[in-house]
Amino acid sequence: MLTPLELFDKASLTGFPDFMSLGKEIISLNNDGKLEFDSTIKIAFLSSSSSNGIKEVLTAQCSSFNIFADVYVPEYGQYAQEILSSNSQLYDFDADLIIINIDFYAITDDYKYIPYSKSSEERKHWSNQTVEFLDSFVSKLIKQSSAKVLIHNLELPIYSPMGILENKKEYGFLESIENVNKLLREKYKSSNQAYIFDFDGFCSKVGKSNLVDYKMYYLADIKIKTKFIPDLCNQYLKYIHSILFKTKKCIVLDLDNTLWGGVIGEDGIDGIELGPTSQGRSFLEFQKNLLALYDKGIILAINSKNNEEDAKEVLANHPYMILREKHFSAIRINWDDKVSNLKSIALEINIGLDSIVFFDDDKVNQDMVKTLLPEVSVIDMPKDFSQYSHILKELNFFETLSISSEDANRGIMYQAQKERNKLFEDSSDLSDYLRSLDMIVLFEEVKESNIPRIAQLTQKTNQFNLTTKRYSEDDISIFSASNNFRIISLNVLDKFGDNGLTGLAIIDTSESNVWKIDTFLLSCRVIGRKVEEALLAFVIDEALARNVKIVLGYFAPSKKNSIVRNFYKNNYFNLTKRTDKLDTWELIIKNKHPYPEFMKCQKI
Amino acid sequence: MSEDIINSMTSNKHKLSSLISNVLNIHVDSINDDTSPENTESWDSFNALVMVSELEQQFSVQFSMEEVYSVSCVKDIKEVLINHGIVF
Repeated sequence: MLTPLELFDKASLTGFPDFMSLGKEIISLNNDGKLEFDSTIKIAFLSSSSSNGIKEVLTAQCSSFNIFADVYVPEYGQYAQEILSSNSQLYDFDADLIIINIDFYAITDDYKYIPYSKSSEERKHWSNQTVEFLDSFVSKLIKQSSAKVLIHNLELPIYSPMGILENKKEYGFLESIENVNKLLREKYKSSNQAYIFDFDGFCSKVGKSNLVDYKMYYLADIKIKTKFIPDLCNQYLKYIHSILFKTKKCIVLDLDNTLWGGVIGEDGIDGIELGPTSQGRSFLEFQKNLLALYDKGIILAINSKNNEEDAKEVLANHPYMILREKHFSAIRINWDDKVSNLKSIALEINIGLDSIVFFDDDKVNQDMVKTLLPEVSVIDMPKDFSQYSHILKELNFFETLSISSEDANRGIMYQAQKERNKLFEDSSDLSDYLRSLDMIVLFEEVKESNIPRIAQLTQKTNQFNLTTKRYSEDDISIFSASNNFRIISLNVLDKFGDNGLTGLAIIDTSESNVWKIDTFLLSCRVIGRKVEEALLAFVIDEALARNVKIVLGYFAPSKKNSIVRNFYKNNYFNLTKRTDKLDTWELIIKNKHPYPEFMKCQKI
Repeated sequence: MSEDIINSMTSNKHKLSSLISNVLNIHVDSINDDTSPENTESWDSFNALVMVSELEQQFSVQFSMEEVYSVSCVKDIKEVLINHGIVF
């Protein structure tokens, strides 16, 4: 039996028909239960024009990331009925992502052709009315479902009958459309459910004058040439990756001919290409683009075959080096093979290999990593380094639907982690190390602004996670509003900085005498620092304060959480029930639970 | 006939049948002049259009709307292509 990835690799996709046949094959194999995927996403695609092929192409593309896309596409033009009638198939389908593509042609009637038969006032009115019209669908969907709603903005035409005078007109035709897009953007700016798909940007990207095949348009109402459908779906993948938390976290970079031109060991610090020359600028700008991703929260690391001293001199002293040692959370400059280095980088920064993107100009290294570490995304870097920045910007897996402060500060946090590791190596024993960290643990009840991060932790945490229950932001909001649940999170601060929100307990308090710990987890970042004992002690304190007699803890074994198998046992709980899927542990509360030494704990 | 023409006839035949097989998801050997929407389930209206656009791309030609309407089997496709100077 082939895996989805093997099917995708074997299909050698060049044109639209290839995507179509692969998509069909996957859908039929999946219906027969012959394929297994890592994850599934349900997508509804609502369109005002013909949407043939979207389902198959999305399915084909998702399969390369081991995702099964279950796509619902109603008859085109049926979007209004589907959205507005509460008992439509759309709501039965229960999508994770709803894409609304109501295009310009469908809502403008004759305005598109003869815009200047309207007065400027009427054009203004048209903009507002159009926004209201589009929003009526989005609002209904938000009310009626928990799906992320992705609405296309309008394609800005490249033609106006007013020609070169267009920009002289009072509230002109193009301005009226720009304004629709602007108003839509403002409307959903702070929404965590509605997102704008920059369809206008997409049309520019593939070329507006080349977008439509007019024969297809008149024959079958097809607005985008079929050959561009894979490009369009590729843009949707950004959202799919982020909804499934399948985004990449770390870029691992080679140095010679990747971050600079030439070979430092041969050319020396004055001989490498980096700076305001035609060759050097490719590398300079590549580094600037990497820095921008670092600022967004992407972790950077180095994996290079070099003398460490030579390379570090460039990091420290080259006048045009944009990325310095402080930007890299892990550095491997040695003569080991790239595969072992990648493994040890993943281990050091505590991320999965599947969160790593690897940039190396050397084809042999690329192939070796592809073969031996198939989870790592290896970028096919061409010999022509002027393409580097472009290639980086085309990658669609560094997306997130919201940036928590943890994400934005991740680079700084991992830098602090590096210093912690150094301190740990220098310390004689664990307690010595923990004492010297000067930890402060802050406990906090759930609040609105923490909900995205809390949901993210339940989705992403695999190792220190007792029950591995995955919750969406909506789930967390529901718990938070309910009297039957308490959500306690923790932040760990130490002398190297703030580790961010890194621990979580969700407690079912519906029975007044018995608290049940539904979720108990800790981010990898703070494992091994006894913080978990502090969190448990705090939960027990809170229970004690409310005269709760018994606390129940659960352990649901998964492939990755064996390190917490004995967590409750080690904390004086007794096993009361064991099945294949769940251990139940019980603690009859008599006294306060001991807090670990070496840290100050407080509630905020 | 010169060898060149014979070569391009063979290569065009091959190109056409692999294109049809690719779009309609049917085996190359099952395609003949009489292959049509009547006897081929996957030849629906959408795939017909995909075929038009693939033919235009791969043979570097552009069809008129009449030509698109005139096609009801593989033989018709060949005739339209012949009118555009493609040899079979």
